[in-house]
Amino acid sequence: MLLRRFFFRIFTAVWRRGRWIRRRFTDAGILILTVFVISGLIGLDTKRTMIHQVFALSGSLLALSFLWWRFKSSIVVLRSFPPYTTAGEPATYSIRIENRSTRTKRGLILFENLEWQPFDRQAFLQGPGWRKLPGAFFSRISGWPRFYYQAKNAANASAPRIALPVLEPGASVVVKASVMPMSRGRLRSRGLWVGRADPMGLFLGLDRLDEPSDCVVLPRRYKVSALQLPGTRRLHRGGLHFALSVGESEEFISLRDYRPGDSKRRIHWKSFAKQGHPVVKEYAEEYFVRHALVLDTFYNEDDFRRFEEAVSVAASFAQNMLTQDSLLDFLFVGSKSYCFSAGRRLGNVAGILEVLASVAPCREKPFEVLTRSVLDRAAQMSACILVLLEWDAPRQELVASLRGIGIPLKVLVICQEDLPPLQPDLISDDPTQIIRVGPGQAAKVLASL
Amino acid sequence: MSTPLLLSGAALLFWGFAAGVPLLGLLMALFLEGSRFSRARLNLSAKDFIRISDLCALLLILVGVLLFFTQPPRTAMLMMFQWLVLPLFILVAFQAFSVRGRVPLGTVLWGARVLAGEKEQDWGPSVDLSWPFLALTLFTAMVPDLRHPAVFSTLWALTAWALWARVRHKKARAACAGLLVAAGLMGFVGQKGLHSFQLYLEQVSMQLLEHYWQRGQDPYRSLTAIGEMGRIKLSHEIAFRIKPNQSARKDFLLREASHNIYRRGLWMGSHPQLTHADSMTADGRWLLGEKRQTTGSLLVSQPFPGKQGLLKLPSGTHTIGGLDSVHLLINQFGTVLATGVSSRTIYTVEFGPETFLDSPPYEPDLRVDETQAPGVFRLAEALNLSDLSPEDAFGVLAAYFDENFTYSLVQAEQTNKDRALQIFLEERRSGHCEYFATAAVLLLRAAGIPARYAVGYMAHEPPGKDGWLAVRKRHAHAWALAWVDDKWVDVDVTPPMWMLYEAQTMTAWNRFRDMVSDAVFAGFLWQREGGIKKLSPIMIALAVLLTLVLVYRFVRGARVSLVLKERADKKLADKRDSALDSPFFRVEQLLAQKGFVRPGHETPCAWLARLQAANAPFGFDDLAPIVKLHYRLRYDPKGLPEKQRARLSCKVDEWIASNSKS
Repeated sequence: MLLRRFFFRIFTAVWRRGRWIRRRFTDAGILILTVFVISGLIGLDTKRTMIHQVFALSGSLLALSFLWWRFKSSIVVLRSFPPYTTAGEPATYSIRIENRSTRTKRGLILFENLEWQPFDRQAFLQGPGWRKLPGAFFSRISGWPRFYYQAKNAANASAPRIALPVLEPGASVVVKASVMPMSRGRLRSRGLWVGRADPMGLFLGLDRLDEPSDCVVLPRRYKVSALQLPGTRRLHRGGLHFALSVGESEEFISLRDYRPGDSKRRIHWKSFAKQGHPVVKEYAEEYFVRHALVLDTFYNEDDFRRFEEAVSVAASFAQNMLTQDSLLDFLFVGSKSYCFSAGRRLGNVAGILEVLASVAPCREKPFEVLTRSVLDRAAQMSACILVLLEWDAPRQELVASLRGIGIPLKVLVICQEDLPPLQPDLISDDPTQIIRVGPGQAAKVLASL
Repeated sequence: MSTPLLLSGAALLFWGFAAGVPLLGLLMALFLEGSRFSRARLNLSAKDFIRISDLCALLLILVGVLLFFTQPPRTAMLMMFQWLVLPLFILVAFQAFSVRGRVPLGTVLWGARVLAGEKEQDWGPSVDLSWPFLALTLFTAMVPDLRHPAVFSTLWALTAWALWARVRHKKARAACAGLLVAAGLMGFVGQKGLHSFQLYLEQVSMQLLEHYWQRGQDPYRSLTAIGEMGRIKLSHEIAFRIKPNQSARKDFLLREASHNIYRRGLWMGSHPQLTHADSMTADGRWLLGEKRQTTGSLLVSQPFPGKQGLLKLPSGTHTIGGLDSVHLLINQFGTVLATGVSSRTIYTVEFGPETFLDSPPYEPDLRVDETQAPGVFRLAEALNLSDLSPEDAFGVLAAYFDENFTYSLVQAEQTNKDRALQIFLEERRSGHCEYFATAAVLLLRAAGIPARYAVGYMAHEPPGKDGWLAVRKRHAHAWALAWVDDKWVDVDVTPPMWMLYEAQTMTAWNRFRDMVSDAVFAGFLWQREGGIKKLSPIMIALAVLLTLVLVYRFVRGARVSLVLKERADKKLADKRDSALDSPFFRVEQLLAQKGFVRPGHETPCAWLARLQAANAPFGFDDLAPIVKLHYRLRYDPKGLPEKQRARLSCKVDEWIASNSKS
């Protein structure tokens, strides 16, 4: 544990320093800095080689470029992100820049000051599967792959540097900018950096402009072929508004006399008082199609790509199914069991996708929590789509239970390449209902459903 | 390549001159810069680049292993750096001659591939390796120790060229030029300062050491393991090789240095003076003494890390050949230091019965300090050495140690350095050669015979087929020198079983290392005797032919297609051009004339479907194959064959003819 803590400290320090270097130096500057460090490490013996000359020259270049450290841009920017973007797709927006100084500004560089998620120390230290980490011996001892995936997740977007045109005093210009979100979630920017390189083009003097903005990065979505789930409409006591609430809230039609078996909670007490005998409220009963989309969030690996693939598959279904005239319940387990309903007048695509944008793996609870949550709602399901991450006994049990109730199923197992072929003996009459999605195959599989 | 024209070539030329291979540097420069003028391009995929980078890595590992086996670690590391350019040049050359012109990062970094997985798009961005390669070339050009102002000037000029070429704004050029000049001056002063600072530090530390040990002593000293605890580690690595000529001798004591003052486990020379030898003959041989009689000669192949080292010389050396372009420094204890030698050199040594290098004995050669070596006089008296002739005394000593002592590399406990020798002589009676040599020197002195302590190697392994005999690091040895009949003679009293004892620790791994070292040495000899010049033109032609066949097989076997640059560049442009004049646009034009304009956001397919649904009066059924062919023409990466294109044109003509009046 001590060693892990040590490596975590080293990795975070190096990564942060590297982030600072990438922000402060140009590509040429990074190259010179690398040469400076390496020549310093191996060229210390000036009697054996001439590498100390490289060290001295690169050091001089860097020292002189640092003279351009202080920089005040005197420009004002105005920009805001689009409200929604999609992971892996560049979002474009415009930035208005105004030069409020009395001097012409040349060679300015503009880039986003994107906020990074903090590194999760506990997840690094206590996460499972240290021995299963990919790579060589050092990777397994130090946990480098785990940190690498965390760092990739922390830097959830990249924005290229924009070279600004010449800005005359008082002039303003609008430039197109883009940001590439790498992963779903919330993308936050604290503002913008305005930089000016030294004349040799090695080091950037930076001026920070606070212009906070954020947007929701939706999961990647794939095109889903027209999906036909054979489910029928189900009775939903209380009509459409039932879906809005939990419990006995229903659509009121009229009052009628009490019949044995009616719930006491339906007694209309005012009428009871007036009439002298029990009167109950009567509600409309409606039948409509209600699909369930179940996302398996029980994931214990460091490489999140498979989990992200599962979220993308679920998002693709959610987007596709909400365009149809049906209700959709989206079920998953986070810190507790969640069920979000959408469709008809209840919600929209963006709502479900926003929820999907923030879904995180559940490491603390067993899979049975999801099984219970799904089976509790099974009575009202017309059909169910299960997006699973494994094909083990608890998951097979869930599929068998739903199958036993008679709910039409479509099961997608997002699996690794080396997973043995699925044994769909549970659904012997229609083996196509269990679909194996290998790495990078989600788009192809969803298009051919 | 995105580096300025000729810059990479100039850097490679600089590297070639610095590494002593200007022709190779020139060839590499011409090849790399030639990519800008050549039209030939290889259509390499990411997997091809993985193969190439793996090949480069393999080459690098091979070079590293060879250097590790043949050079001292530090020299091997520096040489690795110096020759790092070669494997990377292969990768950069392939990049320069590839259609892509860039290399996916994951193909170069194996770690990135492992973490990112199989998909190429996860391997990170494509990078242009020409700039890092330029930096590496300049860096490695500075590895050889070339102390000439032109070296720094060239480094500065090439760096300034690279940075100057990146300046975009005219107004920044004056400032950039000023900064580059300032950086050059600062760098020049800085590197001089660094060098001076190191020399100063070394001087100060040396003075501190001398002060600690004994003011005024020679830095050449031998620190023995006398009194230390534990096992002495032996290295089976081959230190150097010798080839005796016309000599029946099987064992050679090859001396590196000798010392005459012993103090607490440390042997030192008393007031040594290194002087430059100036007795080179016209034929480039060093005469170290009068050539009265020659009893034998040796060839010595010795590595000189740092271009200097102590020569390994047998007793009685009077002539050294093969070191005509070096400086020799000699002191009065027979130590010969060669400077300015190439990293591996073969020199000849001729020797006779007389000794010339060592000064005659003087007071310290007879000094025995009882407090430093208690018990020595007692033993000398017990053996009655002072009454014997020197030759007899040597025999008595050798017999005494052989019969009563054992050779051992293990000392079970730490002992006081002052008493270590006494414990060795009186109690433990077991030790390694340093104990025996020290005891012999002090016993001889106690008997009134001037003696010195010599360190070097004992060559005793049987010679190989080529007559060369390996001398390993574990053959390092210490013995005594005694002054008899006006000359110094070697007196080795260590029990001879030490050679057998040490040889027992040889493992299969050591034998494997020997095989590699033998192969490298054979290559060195071959190169020295003419190398490639010895090969007949037929052999060279065969080698070239074989290389060409291998390249051809790589290109064909890897399904790499050779395309012309213009053709590769124009291929997409041609495709786009050909798609723009697709016959289908005539259909679109006709329909637009009839009032059915296709909106920009609608695909032709969707547009026609919409028109058909709206019962527009046209033959939409005939349009389906036309649209299909049009799509292939526009979007199929392989394009549309000429026949199909003609068919599309024909179908469009037919359709327009039948629908123009609708």
